[in-house]
Amino acid sequence: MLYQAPYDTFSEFVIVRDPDLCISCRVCERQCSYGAHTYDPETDTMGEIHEKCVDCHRCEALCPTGAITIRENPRDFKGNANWTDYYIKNVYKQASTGGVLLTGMGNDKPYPIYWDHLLLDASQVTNPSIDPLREPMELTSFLGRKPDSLEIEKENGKLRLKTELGPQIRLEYPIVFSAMSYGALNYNAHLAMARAAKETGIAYNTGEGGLHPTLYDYGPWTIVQVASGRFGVHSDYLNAGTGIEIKIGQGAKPGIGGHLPGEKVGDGISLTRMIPTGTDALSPAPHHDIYSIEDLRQLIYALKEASDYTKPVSVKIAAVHNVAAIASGIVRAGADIVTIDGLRGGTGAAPTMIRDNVGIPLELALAAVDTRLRDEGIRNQASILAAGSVRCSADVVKAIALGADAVYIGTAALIAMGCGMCQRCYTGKCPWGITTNDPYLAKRLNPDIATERLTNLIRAWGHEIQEMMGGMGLNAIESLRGNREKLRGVGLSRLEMDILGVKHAGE
Amino acid sequence: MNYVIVGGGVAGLGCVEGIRSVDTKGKVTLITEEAYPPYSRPGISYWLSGKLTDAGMPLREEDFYDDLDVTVKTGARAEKIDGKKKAVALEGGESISYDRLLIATGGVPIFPPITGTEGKSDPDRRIFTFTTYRDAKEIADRKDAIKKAVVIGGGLIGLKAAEALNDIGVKVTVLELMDRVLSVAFDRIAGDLVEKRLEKAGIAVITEDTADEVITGKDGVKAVKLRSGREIETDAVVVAIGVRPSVSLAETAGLEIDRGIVVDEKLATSNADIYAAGDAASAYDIIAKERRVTPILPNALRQGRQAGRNMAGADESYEGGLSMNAIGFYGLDTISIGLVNPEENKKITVLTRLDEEAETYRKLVLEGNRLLGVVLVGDVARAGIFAGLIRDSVDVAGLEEKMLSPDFGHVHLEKDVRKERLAQ
Amino acid sequence: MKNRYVIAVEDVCIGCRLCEVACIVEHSDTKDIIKAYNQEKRPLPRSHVEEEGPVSLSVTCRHCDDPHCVSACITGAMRKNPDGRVTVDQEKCVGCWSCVMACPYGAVNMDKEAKKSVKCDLCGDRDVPPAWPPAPTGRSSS
Repeated sequence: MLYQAPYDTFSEFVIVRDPDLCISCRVCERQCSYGAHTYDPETDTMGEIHEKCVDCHRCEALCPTGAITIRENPRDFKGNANWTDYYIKNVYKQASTGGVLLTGMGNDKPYPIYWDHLLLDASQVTNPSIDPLREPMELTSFLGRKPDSLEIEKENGKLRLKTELGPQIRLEYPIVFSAMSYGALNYNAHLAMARAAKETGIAYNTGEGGLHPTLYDYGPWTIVQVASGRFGVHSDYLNAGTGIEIKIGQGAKPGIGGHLPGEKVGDGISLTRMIPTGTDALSPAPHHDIYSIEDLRQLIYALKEASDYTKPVSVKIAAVHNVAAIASGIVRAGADIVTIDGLRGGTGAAPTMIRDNVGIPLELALAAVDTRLRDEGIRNQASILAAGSVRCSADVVKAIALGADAVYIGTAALIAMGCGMCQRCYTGKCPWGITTNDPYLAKRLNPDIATERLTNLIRAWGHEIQEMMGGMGLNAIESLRGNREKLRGVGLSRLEMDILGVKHAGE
Repeated sequence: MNYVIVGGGVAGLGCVEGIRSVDTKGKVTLITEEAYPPYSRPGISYWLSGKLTDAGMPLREEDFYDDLDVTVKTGARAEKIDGKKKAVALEGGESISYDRLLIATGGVPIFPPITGTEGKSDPDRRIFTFTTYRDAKEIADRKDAIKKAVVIGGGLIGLKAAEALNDIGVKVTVLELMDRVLSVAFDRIAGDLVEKRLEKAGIAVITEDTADEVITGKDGVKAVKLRSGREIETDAVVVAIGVRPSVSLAETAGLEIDRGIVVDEKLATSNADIYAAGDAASAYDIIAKERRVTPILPNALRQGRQAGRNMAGADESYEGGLSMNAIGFYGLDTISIGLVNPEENKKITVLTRLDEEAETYRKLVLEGNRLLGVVLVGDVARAGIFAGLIRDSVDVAGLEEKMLSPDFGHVHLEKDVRKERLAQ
Repeated sequence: MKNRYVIAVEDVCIGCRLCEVACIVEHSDTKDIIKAYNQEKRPLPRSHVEEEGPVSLSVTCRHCDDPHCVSACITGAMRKNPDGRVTVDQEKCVGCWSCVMACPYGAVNMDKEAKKSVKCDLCGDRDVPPAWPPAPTGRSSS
């Protein structure tokens, strides 16, 4: 504090310790991976280094007497609606380091959240509501190419489907765990997602870090990702899952590739990604073999060949300005699933400027893509997976009503496992043991408990979705899919409502 | 089944527990020549200094023997065993027959020929030994007359006697023939650290010397003449050189004896119905890998227990003895386990770490990758982990540095070794 | 009687030492966490948390069927109770540390000030020791 410039001494958070309750048991000091707590053996007292606190709440959670509260440091600069503390501190940081600002998790800026401007319908007099506890309510969804028409024939007095269906991914709930790489997360987190996917009959995505050999048993509930770095991609990998996803981009950092710093590359990751330990794993921005839509088609079919046409191939793009046209091209290139990752999608590490300023909100992109594909008469040729900040079951229902076949959840899954949204994933010091591969910290995520929590979340949301659907008088998810009639907007401009394809509440 | 146990020490007590863990119905009789049911022999120094009361001396609660339906005959000295008739003859004529017999007669103090003594204790003249409860009581009864005492023998018993006497206000001088105290159970460095602590507490220690003559006056001891020629004024002499196995009873049965009563891996003697355990027995020692007399309390109890179980039909092999000593003086704790003073040997490595100022010392004796012995002074916490590693011959390659530090624990072992050792 | 004891599962132990806190409070006079730490003579924890890099675990008394500590005790203070628990009678204990020397788990703690051995007693008459389950990542007891 003394003799230091103001740009080095500001602290975003303050550790408030009640001296009457503190027993100097040191659990805060041991558990804080950022070194914000200190211990003085001479006086047997605890101390704080506020500047190191990232507001992860680990110390608060573990303190046996509840002596700790983390507070946001009250505004230290003169009030300024334009030059807020945020911008001032970022300039300080960059002037000191000359570096690119890094952050984790999803866009936290106050762009409009369209989920919060959309309202759902419910049955009242005509079209009675359905009670999901008493009547069948179908949430099962199938991801994959659907044929243009179905041919049914009679054989021996029985009806039989003659049209051959392409491979489908079956989901008991219209929810999939998002692509979060083994490297961004640790093994325990992946194991938990794999197990929970199996338990609930959904799926999880490996992300761009490959698939750990011991997780091949969960293949039927795994979507393997092929990203620009091609980490961990080999023929067994491609055949291990129930689907393959080509990652062109992600919502958090459209236009740039993935980052995994060398410190986070240990033995397990080295083995799975097929790179030497300690080396940075940087995925290039483009796939260097995809420079046109024809190249994409070539890769899609190469993957289908490699997997004997037994798995649907998905293409994941970030929601950007011409997302509808891009999606149309992707479908025509042969993709069975299009994944759209919106502006608020999460990440383990991204440059702050890109995370907060590049891309468009999922809701608009989703509606645009669904409308465009329907208009072109090719909506059946690919399923749409929507990603990028689905925070609750109501968001899931709204996404499906806007046209999604299913949603990806990333941040929600992490929060279920204990994440406190401190946005410091890129440091590799996650004290909750989720986005770190430091063996000392990674232990803190108990896979059994995490599996249970994820399973609970899916089941809970599943029930809520059923209730909302039942309230609308729908008993099958197909009836909700793309059903804009079930949505009404509030506080939206006419243009926004046009893009979303919804009427205003009251209309 | 009729079980008879001769000897009311720890081995005899263990035998009672061992028999009853297998056979709850058979008749069990424990005979002891002492006036008390099994009590703690190492406890007598604590009793003398007041740290243990009379009530604290018995090793088990009063109703222990009744609850187990065991008869204890105190003050009964066994004189002769008839191995053929299977009977024990007591002093005074009574004969007790047995189906299975345990000899746990323990040890008797070594009393060297010192001029001025009759080769045995003489409490009235204030010449004492220090092995039994009675020995301690004899001293306590006369403590008003004892202002100064000379303890002959700087081993475990001698130093404990010295400590107890010092604690009740007696000015003590210890005479040790070897060049250091605790010469058998500990090594040079540990012995020196202990000696320093004793001297700090006011106990004088003279090494490489012993008493050649006890000079008595009208009512008892008044001085001691040392081999070196020096004379020390004193009111009492405590002979505490050591104990030797008490085998005279076993000899009457014609049993095989080496240093102690020879027993096999089931703890049976050369007579199949007679077992032996404790300080009197010569049983397999896991460090020496042959029979030894290991007069250590935990060994005695476990031998007794195993013998009792086998007497009742369990047919189990004795786990083997391991010498171990825990002793502390005036805040300086010491523990030694296994082989402590190895001979020069190519296969044996000795590693030490000494901090003279902090008065801590650690010594490891290894043969290849196996631990044979440890000495710990000062930092003795969790020493038992070493006992486990020694007993189970765990491969400790690469752990030398960690074992020399006070925070050594299971966490330093290889993961699968640790999981096995900590398995449920 | 199947012996019960508390173990820490090494794979999920995070070395936070809250088990020690719970143990200290349980063996205090007031059973109040603030008073136990700040006002009373703080009791010793009965478990030993071992830590080396990312590996940590807590070793506690196993209440063995054939306890080495009971065999080694020179006064009979250490005993195996009928309910299976191994306890040390503080009146009889003289602090000779023979039990410390004998226990292969290193589970006996030394109260050097009081010159007494101190060890896990499965919290006396409690059904479930309080150290389970405050551990943040889950632990088992058997």
